[in-house]
Amino acid sequence: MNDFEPKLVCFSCKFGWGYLGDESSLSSQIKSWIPIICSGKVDTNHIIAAFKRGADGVLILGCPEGDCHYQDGNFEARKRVHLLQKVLNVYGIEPERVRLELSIDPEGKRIPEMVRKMSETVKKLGPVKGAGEIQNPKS
Amino acid sequence: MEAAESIHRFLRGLDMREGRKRDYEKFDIPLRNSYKPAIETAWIAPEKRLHFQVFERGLSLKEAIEEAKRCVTCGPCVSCKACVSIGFEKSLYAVAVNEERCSGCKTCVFACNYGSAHLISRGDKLVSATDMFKCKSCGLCVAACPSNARTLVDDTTYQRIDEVYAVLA
Repeated sequence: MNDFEPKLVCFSCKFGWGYLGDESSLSSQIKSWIPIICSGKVDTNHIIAAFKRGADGVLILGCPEGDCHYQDGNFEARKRVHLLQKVLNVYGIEPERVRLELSIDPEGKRIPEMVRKMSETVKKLGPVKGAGEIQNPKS
Repeated sequence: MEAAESIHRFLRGLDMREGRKRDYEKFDIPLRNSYKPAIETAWIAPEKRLHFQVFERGLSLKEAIEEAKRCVTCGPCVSCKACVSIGFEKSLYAVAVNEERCSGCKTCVFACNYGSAHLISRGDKLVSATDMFKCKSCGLCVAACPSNARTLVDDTTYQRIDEVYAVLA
């Protein structure tokens, strides 16, 4: 189990995370990093598709509460993640594998650190069990 | 030109709106509860202004920072496009609605914070439509749509997601 390297997908809100940093240097540090215009734009289908395609964890970085550029996108994301965690749990995917972090870091230096922390959590859980059973009609 | 046309129409008692496009629309105060009006600047009373110094006190550093953070509710995105000019976004994406798929469930109307998504009647059913004057192209309605009827035209975010996922396997 020790040589297991978890595959993480990291979504980050462009308005709160790394907009001052250099995008190309950041993406070389972070594997599977997707800057997105708003954390509320991350659909549950995208999270499910990530697990379906072989990801072991999904990390979503959004703006602090009340600071969303689009007024309540981060609340939408939080609502969505909270409900999705319950659904995923039924399918044998631990809720800890989907994480939403509402904070701010314009230079993006904390993103690699957050990803590392998340991958440690996922490392303890091991690979996803039973993800192949999820049927997603939309993807 | 526009003003001259307006004056002409007003004086002739013609319809002001006929055949013209809206360029600007006023926005309501944002829903956010942190909205604050502008800070009042203290001025020196006129009777004490008998010198050539600046009569405005101006803002202290703390006040200036607060003022800079304040949302000033500029106009609609179509008349600003600052996000495009700084390279934040490629363009202001238009929202396309697949009317075959749309069931008129109104989920997008609730998801939209700007009153842009609304329902129109098309034949015998209600379908959603987008008012591009109010739209900020945030994509919240796209993510919220249960029947995948809404898409952002030319938006590459979802392609990027697919590319990243392709590397995973």
